[in-house]
Parts: sequence; structure tokens; C-alpha cells
Amino acid sequence: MPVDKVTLEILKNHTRAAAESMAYTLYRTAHSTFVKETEDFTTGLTTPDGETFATPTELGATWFVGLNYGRAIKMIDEYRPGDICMTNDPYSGFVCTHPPDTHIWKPVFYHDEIVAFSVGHIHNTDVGGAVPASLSRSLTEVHQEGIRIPPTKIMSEGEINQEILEIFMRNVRAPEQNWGDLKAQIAACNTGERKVHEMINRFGIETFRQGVGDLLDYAENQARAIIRDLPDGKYDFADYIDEDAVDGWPCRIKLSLEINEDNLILDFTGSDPQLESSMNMPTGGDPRHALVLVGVIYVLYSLDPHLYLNSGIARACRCILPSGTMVNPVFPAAVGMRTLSCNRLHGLTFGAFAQAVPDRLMGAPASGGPIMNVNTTDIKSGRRIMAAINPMTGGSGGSASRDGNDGSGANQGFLKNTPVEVNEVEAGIKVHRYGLVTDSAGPGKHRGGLGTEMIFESLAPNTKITARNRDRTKFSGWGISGGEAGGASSFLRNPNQKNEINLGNTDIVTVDPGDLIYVSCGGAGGWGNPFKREPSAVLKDVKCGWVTPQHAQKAYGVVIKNNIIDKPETELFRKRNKSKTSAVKDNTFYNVCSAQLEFEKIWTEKNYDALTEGLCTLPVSWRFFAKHQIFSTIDKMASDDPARSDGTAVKQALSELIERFPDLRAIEDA
Amino acid sequence: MANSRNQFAIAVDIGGTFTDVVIADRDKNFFFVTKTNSTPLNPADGFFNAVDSALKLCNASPEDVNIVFHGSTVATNAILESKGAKTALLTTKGFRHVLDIGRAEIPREANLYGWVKPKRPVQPRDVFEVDERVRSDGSVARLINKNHLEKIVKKIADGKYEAVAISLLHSYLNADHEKQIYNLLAERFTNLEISISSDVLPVFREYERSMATVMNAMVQPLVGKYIRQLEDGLAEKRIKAPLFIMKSNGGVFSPQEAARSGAHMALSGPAAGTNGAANLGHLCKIEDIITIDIGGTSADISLIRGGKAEIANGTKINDLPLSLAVTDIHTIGAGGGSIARISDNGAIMVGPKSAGADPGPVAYGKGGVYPTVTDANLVLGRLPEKLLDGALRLDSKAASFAIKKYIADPLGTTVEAAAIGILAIVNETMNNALKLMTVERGLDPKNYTLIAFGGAGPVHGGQLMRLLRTEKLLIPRYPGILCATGLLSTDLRYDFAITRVQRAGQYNKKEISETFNSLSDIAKAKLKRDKIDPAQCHLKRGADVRYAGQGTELSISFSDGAITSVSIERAVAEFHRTHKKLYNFSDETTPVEFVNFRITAIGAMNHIPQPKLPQSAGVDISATDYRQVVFDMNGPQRTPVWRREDLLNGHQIIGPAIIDQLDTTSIIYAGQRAKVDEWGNILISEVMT
Repeated sequence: MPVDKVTLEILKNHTRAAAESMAYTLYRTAHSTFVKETEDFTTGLTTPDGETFATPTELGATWFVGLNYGRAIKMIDEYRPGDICMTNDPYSGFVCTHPPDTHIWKPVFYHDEIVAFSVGHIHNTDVGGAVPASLSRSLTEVHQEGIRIPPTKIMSEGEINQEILEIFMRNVRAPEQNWGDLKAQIAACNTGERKVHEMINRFGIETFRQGVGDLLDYAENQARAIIRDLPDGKYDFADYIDEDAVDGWPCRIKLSLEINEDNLILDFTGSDPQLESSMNMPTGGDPRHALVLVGVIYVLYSLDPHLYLNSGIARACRCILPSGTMVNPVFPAAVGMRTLSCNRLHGLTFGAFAQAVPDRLMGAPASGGPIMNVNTTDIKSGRRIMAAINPMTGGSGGSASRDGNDGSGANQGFLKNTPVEVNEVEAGIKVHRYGLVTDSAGPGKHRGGLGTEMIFESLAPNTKITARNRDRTKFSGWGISGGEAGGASSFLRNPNQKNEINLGNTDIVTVDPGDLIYVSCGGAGGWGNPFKREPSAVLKDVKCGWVTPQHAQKAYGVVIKNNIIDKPETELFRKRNKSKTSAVKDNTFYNVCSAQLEFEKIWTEKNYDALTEGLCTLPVSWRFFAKHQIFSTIDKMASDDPARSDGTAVKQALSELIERFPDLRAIEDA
Repeated sequence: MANSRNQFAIAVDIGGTFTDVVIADRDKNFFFVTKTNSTPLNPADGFFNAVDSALKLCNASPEDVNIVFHGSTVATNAILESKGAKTALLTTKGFRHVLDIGRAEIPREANLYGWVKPKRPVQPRDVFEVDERVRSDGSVARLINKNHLEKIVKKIADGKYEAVAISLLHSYLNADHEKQIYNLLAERFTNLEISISSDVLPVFREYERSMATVMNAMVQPLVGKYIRQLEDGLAEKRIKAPLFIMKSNGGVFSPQEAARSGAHMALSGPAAGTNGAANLGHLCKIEDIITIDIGGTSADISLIRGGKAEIANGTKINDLPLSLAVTDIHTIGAGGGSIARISDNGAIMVGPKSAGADPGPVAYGKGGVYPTVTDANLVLGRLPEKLLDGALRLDSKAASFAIKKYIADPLGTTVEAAAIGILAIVNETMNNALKLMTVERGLDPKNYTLIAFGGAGPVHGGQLMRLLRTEKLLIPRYPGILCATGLLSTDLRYDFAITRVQRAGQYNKKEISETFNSLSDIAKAKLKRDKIDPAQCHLKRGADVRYAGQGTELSISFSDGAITSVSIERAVAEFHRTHKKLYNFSDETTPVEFVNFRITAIGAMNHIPQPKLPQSAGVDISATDYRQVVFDMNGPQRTPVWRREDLLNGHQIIGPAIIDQLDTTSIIYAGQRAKVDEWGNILISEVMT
């Protein structure tokens, strides 16, 4: 019999408060500044099967809900009270999604029976491997990304496993931090265990057990109710990461979303083969992997802010994640920078759903702004400085109801920037400008949010600037329902000077004193036809320095002279340039940037279909190589050759490749 | 009272609906309290109505008043409702969008995609970049471009701005440029309120400093006008007593200071409540207190530790940071007027939407349709059908109907069960907030006394103490007006801070010493202007300290006397201890940096004590009435009712019991014992079984 509504509501509060309390314990006791500043951690309670029923909402990576610990739980033979298990191996149990994340879980016993697991993860600053912080786009296999602990008891009946701990600590760069943070995780799990016992004392074991099941059903029912409200259908969408490796080709993530009554099917067939860089997303092909469903949860929550967040939501979803692709790589593909792919995937999910409910969702969020660090020397003291200067943030997409937010949007939205004054005091740089990027917003009836930009001066020789997660230099965020794409991101050395260098998607650069660095995040996509935007709203944008008068006329058809709208000219201009106000624009649901438009003229759906079909006949380890070979063949073809874009040349290039390497044919035949 | 001259103190606390007034006489042991209506359209009218009714209560003449205290929401409302003056912000070239970007981050609990960025009080079209630059060491990289500045002056004139905020980069180190511009504008404009960041908050982090300066500037014209109205009106009434205004930091300041620093009044009202609770604690010798003030729309929670209200170095208003010293108050949308509803999933939800004072709960009969927490309390018999001595009649039938229609019927349950459900949910919400302020900060509620006040505090206190597991609950003698009585026990208080970064191994004793001295000089000058006897001035040093690399600081105290290696070491040691207490670890090997230095200046005032109650003849007192009250699913129970005014020092009541008074009802649950103390407070504890 289900638990009565009032008791369930109170139990719900208690489970959430328990997860919250775990998060506070972890936050209070964590040792590394990184954990404190970025709150890159989770806490939660799961059923004995590993389904998460409670997560915090105020602290930590609050959207990473519904992670399934089940597979990892089963990899341990036997549990006793006081045991705590740990893993940071992305290829064992698929609970951990890159090596810096150490996940731990503790069984909670009631008498002799496990009634729950108290779980959580923390992003360690470093777990060893090829580079400090263990993360780089350039890494090609998981072995380079640090030491990996398979699911193991780190504590047995309350006793720490010194041997494992010492091996782990011997292999990382700042062991005292990892140890401090691990202690914090253990403290959080112990808090969770205590809270479960408190709940059992208050509600009784039967109510607790039944209530936990009811809470999962509760979230599932809510999710299904939201989905039932959406029009049934199939919605295809694809988006890109600029490069699939350093200086690589565009990397595509493809989603076919099927809404069928109260079920969702997310088919990722057609996404790129697994990458020889570290942007792969290790999901093990789990049709309900939390890493893939974060975007769905955001969408459902955007549609109904009362959605209760737990694993139950995932029951309404099924993902198809073909093996050997970037959304389900096989060992030993590198996975460290999966954050970048995840960010793109969230936006992609929004885009697909937006087709179903264009008036309830928004254009692409701004993206491509990096998390930046400076490594330089202080002139006066001579000390070496290592400082995080800023995550460069962008805006959120425009929607039917309003403009996007400026300077704060999705993706890395939880991260705080560093004040200019602190940067100058701490990081040994001089900041010339920190502001919003003029004309970066994707035009629309409701425009996207603007990206941020910073210009700063290096004050010492051998100043190293790292810019992690850079992207969207080529392909910027799309607009919907007639709205247009936002501006691209940018990374320049000595902007507007003779010695200007465009650093593209580079993520590390060494500069000299006096050198200027310009870095920006892209703008977000707009919603609705920009020629239908209120002229007064355009005027306000001009007065605020967000839109130039030239751009106001070109993108919005609003003629502004001396901060005054010229009404007759505006009307005339808007009428003459009717293409923007007519249905022509409205025919394409997504408006992408011109670079993407050019690219997709060649790399059509047909080309990609041929590529996907062809690559899956090859061994996984050959696919990335084959993709590059084919891309470079297509690139060299004459632009007016129809075979270039109708799939024929792709098929041809593939057969030639197999021709060239007879071993491949042997496999194919077998 | 005819022979000797009376020395009255008046305290006026203006809230959204009611204005609470206390008039007291130190020597004669008078202490009259009353409520008048607030006048939101012209708050000064409400103030004087209150003063008049206070004088009438004691038949006092204006000359007999020797001090007036005031808690006001004028600044609060101006900020909350974005009704400040038309304000321009002047900032350094290159940084026009600092306010818009803010700290860029989205709150953890918000949806990254759907979150709406709070509107800024000043838009970039009203932000002007000054061509100037100060370096991060305080030296000047570029002098002010005077010609360019003239153009801005013209824009200010053309734009008809009423206030200007000036916040330039690194002005906490070198305020010259801000002062130059201030002087120029002050010379050119007679009717312009100007706030400069090196005055308002000379602390680094340009966004927070600019925001505080802007908020101060935009409330200034309003606050200034209000203060002048008060001063003129008091003079007209021949009240020559000094007026003191409540600040967010739990102290008061003079009208002159208020007229310059209105942003310090942002939490004027609730801070007085915490102060009142701290004062009760002082009287009753209770040092560690959790306070909860439950009103119509919200509940304010604060902490008192070691007899002192917890002060934070900032708060958020409308989701925007205000980095000035404030009483640390956590507010949630749960109160008597909170509306109950059924979610799509069939769960009872309570708040944060509230029926407020207008239309108020269904039972008020003023047009409220949806059932509220008060309606639930009423149908269960926990509230009487008459409030305020019969001035307000509660319609229990209407309340019952609303609960039936909107909660009980959809759930297929009884009105009683639905009402019990509503209360269980709202109590849980409040309990979660109470835990956030205690358990999640590593504090054990067992060691604290809960003080519940406000109109609905005494109704819910008994349940909250059980949920939170505190051992004691204190209900003040006048729970509805603790904010006003709190005003009578305030001191003058100023908090100053300035950034002077000191790195490990390079602590500059001379600079630290000069920093403290200059802050002390400013503080002393202010207290002198407020005519405080130097013997009553107390200065306390503090510092904001962090481990190198951390993005936030902890505030610690710093010893008096000469700055020596020993005194610095002592401060470093205290930082390690504080860090350990708060975060469960300290790290003696990591370099420690001093960031901000602080001076808190207190001008001690002569507090006016609350009169004592006479001693009762015995422990027992018989009930004056009985009513049917539902406490649980076992149905109505005939429950004794007392009148609060009948209770004397020493009386004891065993629950279940109800104690009605003018504006609230205290509920003693089965298993609880209430004792009345000499100050008229009710102390409730669980009876050990």
C-alpha cells in the first residue's frame, strides 16, 4: 500500500534534507580549494539496487542526478556494516565518468539487511597521469589520465585499507589534498547513513522502504506527465564541437528524439566514432545513463519547475548509444574532457525538444568560453604565480517569453568569475576590459544573451595561459523559430595589432610582457524573427552598448540615429528587406551560423549517413583514422562536384581505404 | 506620577501592516505597548500616529520624552521594489558592464537554462566610464581625463539624475580619483545625492562594492527626505529628544548618518527582532539562542551565540549582494498567511505564496479564497475565534470550507486530517530552515533555546522545538512586538572594513597598525558626532583572513594594542582554529593571508529594562475557559485555556493547554510544561517521562 500523501511529502523533505546534510558535511570538511570553489561533487542516497532517490539541491553538482550505482555495487562480493567502497575507473561499472571523479558508496544496514546506500563523488584536483590536473584534450587513452582504482573496499568494517590508499596516494601530484577530500567524502557518507537510521526511527522501516519506492514512482509519474503533454513525434537534430582533436575535423553529436506518449527514446546513432582525444563520454551503453540524461532533466525541469529530481525520471527514457562512438567509447578511449561534449549534448537535447515545443524552450546557450589559468612571475617578489583567473561565461538562449540572460548562461553557469581587482592583485596581470561582447547576441524577437570578453596584459616573460574547454570558435550557438545564431567565441594574441595571432581553439599559450590577450565566450542563440523585435528594445540595447547601430539595422532592421529610432526609415527598411519578416526564414527551424551552413552544404545528412553506415563496418580502433581520411579526401574535392555532398564520394573514399588496407577487408568478410 | 518628571523612551517599529509602539519609563517601571496601522504611502504619517498614540497611552507630554528609537522599512522597500531614485554609476573605463555580469554564476538550486538573471538597479545606459586608472598597488596609471569627465557631467545634468554612485577600480587603495569627482559634482550640483565606493565599502571585489554603492545612492534621496520629515515633525511636536534609527547590523545610528548611509537600513526591522531576543536572553541569562519570527508571509531565523547576535559581512536582497555588515538572518516564505494547495501529484504544498495581510487568510473574511496556515490552525481549535480583544473575528466555517474544497476533497480525506497535514508540512519547512542555520553549520540545537515570536511564532514554537530537538522554548511576554521592544536595548554601532592584503611572510606591521588607527579615527569621530561619552565607546578589531588561494575569507577578531609579531601570530592561530571549527580542518603549512581589516565601534547606551511581573502565590492557576482542540488524528480534545495577562511569575501549566493573548496564542502540547518567569516570558520544556 502506498504511503499517504502527507507522510510521503514529509519523507520527501527528510530524504532531501539528508542528502543536503551530506553535501554540507562534505563541503565543510573538504580540503581542496577546488572542491570549495567549484562545488564539483555530489552526494545522495540510493536504493539497495543503486537507484538514487535523494540528491541535494543547494550544494554541489546539483543536476547530476539519478546516477545508477547498481553495476558498481554488484562488483563487490559481500558487504558488512562499516564497509566503504570506491572507484574512479570510468570503465568499471560506469558510475565514474572520468578518472578525477572518485565515487564512494557505503551500505546502510537495518539489522542484517541493506536498506540503502549512502553515495557520492568528488572531482579531485589531480589523480596523476600525463598532465597536471589529469585533464587535457590531447590525451588519447585513459591510461594517460591518471591512476584508476576499480571498485574496491577502501574501508572494511570501519578499518581503512592502507595498502590501496598508499598506492593511490603514491600516484597523484598532491596526495594530501586527495586524502583530505576522501576523508570529507567518508564523513558525508557517514552522515547519510546516520540520516537513514533517523528516518527509519521516525517513520518505521516499512514506511521508509515503501516511501522510497513511492518517491521514485513520484518523480517518474511527474516526468511522464510532462512528456505526455508534448506532441508525439520524431525530432532530429545534430550539433558540433569545432574539433574532434587538436587541429582536427568537426565532431558531430547526433540525436533522434522520439516522443511516444509518456516515453522518450533518444537515439544517438550518427554521432562521431570514438575520438582519439579525451572528449569521449563513457556510458557503457546504459540506456539510462545520468551523463546522457542531464539535458533531458534540464528540459523537463524547464517545462515544469516542480519536478522532483531523482532516478525515477530516467525510467521514462531510453537512450540508444552505439558502441564505439563518442557517446559509448570502448576501453581504453580517453574520457577526461567529457565535460565539453556533455555541454554540447545538453544544448543538443534542448534543441531537439524545442522542435516539439518551440514556444516553451530556448535557443542555444552561449558556449566555448574557457576556464582560464595564468602561470606567471610576480615582478616585485619574484615568486611564481599560479592563479585561476576566470571562467569566461556567456548568456542563455532567447525564448518565447523573454531575452536570454547576458553574461550568465547554461553549461558552466554554476562557476563564479574572479573579480578584476582580485585578478590584478593575485594573478599578476593587468585587465584592460571586462565586459559583454557587443553584437554577440543571437538576433531574435527575443535575442540571446551576450557573451563576456576580457582583454588583459601579461606583465612578465614566460607567462603561460591555459584556457580549458575552449570551443565554438567556428560553429556558434544556433537560434530557433526564426531567431539567429549567436556570435562565435574568440582567443587572440595582441588583438587589432600588426602582430595579432588568432589562437583558435588552442588551450595553452605562452606570452611575453606587454602582450595582450583577448578572450571571449560566444553569444547565445535568439528566438523568433529579429525583424519583429520591438524597436524600443533594440534602442535600449544600443544605449547599453550591447548592439551597435550598424548591427541594429542589419540584424533587426531598426534604424537608429543619435540614439533615436528613425521610425519611417525603420518601417521602410523592414518592408524592403522582407525576406527577414516573411515566412522564408520561418521555414528553417534552426538558424545556424554561416560557417556551419557552409560546412553542412558539403557534410549533408546523406554524407553523414554514408559515413555512419560505413564506419560501423570497421573495427573500432580504425574508425577515427578512417573518418579523418575521408574528411580530408572530401575536403580536397572540387566544390561543384555533386558527389562531394550526396554520399557517393564518402562511400568511394571508404572503399578505397579498405582497398588500401586489405586486413580490413578480411575482417569485413569475416 | 505627577510629582517627578518622567523620562520616557519611545520605540516605533514600522512593519508592512502594523506599526508597533512601546513607551517606557526607566524609573517608574512603565511599559506600554500598542499597535497602530502602518501608512505605506507616506510612512512618516504612520510614525507620528504611533508617537501620538504612545504619548496618549501614558498621558505624557512631548517634553517628557528623552529618547526615540525607530525601525523603518523605507530603505528596504525602496530596494525590494526597485523604487529608488534615478541613479547613474560612474566607473573606470573598460568596466561598464561589471554590474550586469556580476559574479556570472547561477544559484545552485536554479535551473541553469531557465534561470532569470535578477534585474540590475542601474542599467548600462546609466553607467558612464571615466577615463582614469589606478593600479592594483594603489599607484595612478592614468590621471582623470578632465575634458572627458566634463562630458559625463553634462550627461548627468541632461539625464536629470537624482543620485550618482562612483565606484572606480582599486579605490579601496587610493580614493583620490573618487574624491576628485565627488568634489566636482558636489560643486556643480546642489540637488544630487552622491555616494562613493571608498566611503560605502572600501573593500576589493568591484562588483560587490559597486552594488553596495549603487544601492546606497539610490535609496539616499528617499531616506534623506524621510529623515528630514521625521526630524521636522518631532521638532513641530516639541519632542527635543534625540532620534536613533535601527541599522541592519543590530545597532542604531543618528539621523545624520542615516541620511548618508541609507543602505545600512536594509534589514532595519528584522534586526531589531534579533536584538530583542538577544536582550531577553541577557535578562534570562540564556546565551545561545535560535530565534524564529513567524509573521504573515515569512519566517525570519537568526542565531545568538554567547549572548551576541551573529553578524554577517553581507546578505542578498532581491538576489543581489549587499556586502555590508548585517544581522545574519535567514528568511523563508512560510508564515500564517502561507497558502496551501495540492500539487499535480496530489501532494500538499504550503507557501511560499502568501495571502499576506490583504486579503489575508480565508477566516479574516476579507476576500481570501485559498486556505492558509492560519485557517488550518483555526479549524483545529488552536486559535480562538476572536483576536485583538474581539476587534478581529475569525470565520472558522469559511476556513473549514476552503480546506475542504481545496485540500480535503481532492485528497479524499477529512478537513481535520487535511489541516493537520498542512501544519505538518509548514512545520517541516520551518524546521528545515532552522536546521540549515544550526545543524548544517555544525551546531547542535540541543544546546540552544528557541525563542519563537511574531504573530504565529507561539502557535508553532512547541512543535518546532520538538522537531528541532531543542530542550527549551521561550515565548516572550509580548511576542508580537519584540522588534519594537528590541529597539529599547540597542547600542550605537558602526562597522568599518578596508582591504589591505598582507601576504604570508610579508606582514607589514606598520601598515596594519596604520590601517586600524585610521579606521578607529573615523569610528571615534562618528561616535563623537553622536554625542556618546568617550567612556562608553568600545572599539573592536577584526580581520578577514584566508589560506592563500582561497576565494573567500573568514572573519576573526584581532587583539587590541600594538601590532607585533606576537599579535599577528595570535590572529593567525585564531584563523586556524576558526577554520577548523567551521570546516573541520586547518592547515598550518599553507600560507595565511590577511585581506580586510575591520573595526566595530559600539557606543553603549543606557538600556531601558522591561518591568518585572509580580510573584504568584503558588504554582497552579486555574483555567479561565475550555475549548475543543485537535492535536492529532485522535480528534478534538477538551483543552484548558488561559489568558496571558492572568499569568504571574512562578505559574506553571502542563500541556495540553492554550494561552491566548491580544495578538497571538501559545500552544503547550501534551508532554510539555510551561513556566512563567519574572519577566513574563513563558519557558517551555519537555516533561521527562
